[in-house]
Amino acid sequence: MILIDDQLLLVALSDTAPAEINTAIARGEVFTTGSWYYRLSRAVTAGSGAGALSSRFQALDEAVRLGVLASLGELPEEIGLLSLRVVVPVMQALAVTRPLNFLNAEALAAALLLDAAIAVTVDAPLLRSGATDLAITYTVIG
Amino acid sequence: MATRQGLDANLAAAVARGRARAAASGELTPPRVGPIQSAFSDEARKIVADWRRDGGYLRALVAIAEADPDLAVQ
Repeated sequence: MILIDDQLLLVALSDTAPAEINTAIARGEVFTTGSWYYRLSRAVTAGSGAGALSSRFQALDEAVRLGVLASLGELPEEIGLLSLRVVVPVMQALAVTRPLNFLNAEALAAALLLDAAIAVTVDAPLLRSGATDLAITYTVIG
Repeated sequence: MATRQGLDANLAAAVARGRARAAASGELTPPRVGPIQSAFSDEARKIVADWRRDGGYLRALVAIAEADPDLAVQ
């Protein structure tokens, strides 16, 4: 089982994910978290200015653009997502050496519940530290 | 599912209860199994790749984290 971050979710949705991620998705072995899903949605839709993704999509055919934006905003059923009803009791029981924000606590709790490895695109020292404390496999995929 | 060795007893109990609850509600597997059917055209795929490559995504994360530290990369 693999728990992927928001950027890996983005590349999976845009059909540019590494083969190992695509294979795992096809087997029903890929999950993400609510925080990563929410952060991706915010990054795609709430940006402004020249760097915003949505402004770059303006050049696309309207039907394609709407389809792409819909696929980025709605999590495909092939990606698993644990509910907060299940995750929060584990989040509050986490015993790690360094304080966590919500995103990191949710990721660590979900990984424990799923017995999953955490795969990220950008190394996050606090998340890595918590994963080490809890003996969770932590991988950075470029 | 394997029980992880060395977890704090309180945490291990919370994980066991959570797994049982998730299994009962069918959350331990995705709602559908199989490859994702992408809605992306080649052009849209290139736009996303360029956005990531030129740092647009990371700039968006910085802006998001400034407004909500609970979503920050730390």
